[in-house]
Amino acid sequence: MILEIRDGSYSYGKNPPVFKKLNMELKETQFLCLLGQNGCGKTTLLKCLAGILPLSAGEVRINGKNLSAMSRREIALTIGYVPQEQETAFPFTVKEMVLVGRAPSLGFFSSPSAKDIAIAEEALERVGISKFKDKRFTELSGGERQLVLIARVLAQQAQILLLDEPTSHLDFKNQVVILRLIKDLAQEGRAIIMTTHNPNHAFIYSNRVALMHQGKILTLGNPAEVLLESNLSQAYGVNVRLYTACHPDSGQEIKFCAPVEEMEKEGVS
Amino acid sequence: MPVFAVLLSLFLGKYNADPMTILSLLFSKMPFGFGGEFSPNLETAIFQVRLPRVWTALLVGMSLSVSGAVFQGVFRNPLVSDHILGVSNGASLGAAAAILLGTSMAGVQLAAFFTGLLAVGLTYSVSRIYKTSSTPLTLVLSGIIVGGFFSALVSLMKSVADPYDKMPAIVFWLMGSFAKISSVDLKYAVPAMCIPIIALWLVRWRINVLAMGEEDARALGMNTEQFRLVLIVLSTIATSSAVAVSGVIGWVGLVIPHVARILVGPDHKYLIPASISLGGTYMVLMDDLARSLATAEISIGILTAIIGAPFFAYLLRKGTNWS
Repeated sequence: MILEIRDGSYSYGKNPPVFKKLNMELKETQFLCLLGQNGCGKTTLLKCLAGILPLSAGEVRINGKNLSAMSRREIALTIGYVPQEQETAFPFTVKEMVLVGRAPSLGFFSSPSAKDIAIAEEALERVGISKFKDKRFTELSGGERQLVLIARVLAQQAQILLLDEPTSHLDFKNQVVILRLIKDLAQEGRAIIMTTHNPNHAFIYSNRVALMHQGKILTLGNPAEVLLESNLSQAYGVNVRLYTACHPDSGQEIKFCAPVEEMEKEGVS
Repeated sequence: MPVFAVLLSLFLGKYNADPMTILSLLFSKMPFGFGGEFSPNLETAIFQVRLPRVWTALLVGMSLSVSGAVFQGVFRNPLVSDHILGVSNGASLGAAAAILLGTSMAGVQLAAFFTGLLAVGLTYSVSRIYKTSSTPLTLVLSGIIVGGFFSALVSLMKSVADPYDKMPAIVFWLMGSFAKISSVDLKYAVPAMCIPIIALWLVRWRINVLAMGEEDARALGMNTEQFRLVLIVLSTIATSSAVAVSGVIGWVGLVIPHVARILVGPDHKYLIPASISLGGTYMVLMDDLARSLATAEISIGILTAIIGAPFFAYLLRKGTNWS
């Protein structure tokens, strides 16, 4: 399973391109964190990779097959996309929302069968939200909604997952639960791209990192190669420092980073 | 539920006959039926007058309600209906023009369909002009604009129509009524309502996917443009055919899906059958009221508005969380 984008460009209407001549590649078991400033084009890139937005130039390929030559349904059987948030006009229950993930696998005239319901319930179980499967989606908090959307993409059973800031509304515990889950999903053989605003997620959980800046991929590689002070500072436009700490019990080294501009001005570095 | 409403309606009417007689008359017509002697007047009253009328009311109620539910799902907006999207006014224009030109029933229906579709198209395009986030309200406002424009054109038709013959026909028809239904009129209208109802019933679960929103539905493998167009065309055929046979009957397409949603929830797998069944029943019962409340017929469009409007106000008060 290889997802690749070759010389991809995208612009909204006649505006300057969001990204231009972009190249990237992702294989199975790779969990890639896509980092970058607000508005650098991360979400647009994910939507292009998911086939929701058509590239203005270049191509996206799955196993060498051009995305634009595939039907939406074929794409959805391979690629699952989780939006940052979702508004629904109707108060669907959590279970109904997750069942919608079965859509690409179902015939045009059919409704979900008992098997589909079982798959949806398994997805709910895996994300740990079985307990509120009968609650209304509209009554959930932002974090709970994100968990539902992740369950929905699991029910879709796609091998490539594109997740747009899946942790943005989550508390510490749920962040850990979801990141752990995503890491497991990748180890089971899926290829995953996740955007996040927290580079520390990349240190701890992902095995690939890409830094995006002004519509370009600055660097792409293993976290240890990519997450350098110089790269992060360039990508975010502020000074970023790396710190190392030892886990008190195992003695294992943990790296993390933090922006430091304010502190240096006050001479506290 | 619709079956009981239909039976009840067959029992009601100017020609007095007790329910048992009517039931046995119905049974006698079935292949396995037991024969019996019935007066020809009764047979005429039941099969030529009541049955076509009840049957039409049932189908019109189903068509308006199912299209209302589908329009609400397609536009992800629980406030829209055939009336609010301007379909009814659009279809009225075509039908009024066809009556004015003196075309056949099929001509009236075709004209109603095309102007109905034109009206939905216009409403949707007008709402897209206001690019500032397409809130539920923008679509409603565009519908009011388009509907107002079309209803002005209908008034124009009325004022140029022959005041002794065509104009009363148009006016009576605009108020909505099943009084003039004859089996002849139904030749085209029945399939034109049945086919969309069945088709919408078959694809009903997919409307859930569309209700997730444009991008999500695409990511879930749906050809959204195509599916949305299919749904709009089917609903418009159903609505326009209903308008063509019975005139404008308001509020049903808005209120019935809401009631159905309260009863069975928003999942279209259950919402569509519930809307169909409730809508058919409601219309048949309303028509019973229309022909039995007073000695003269009351237009059913007047009744559905008198009942529908306050009822919708009550639903609003209950709050069905849209924002």
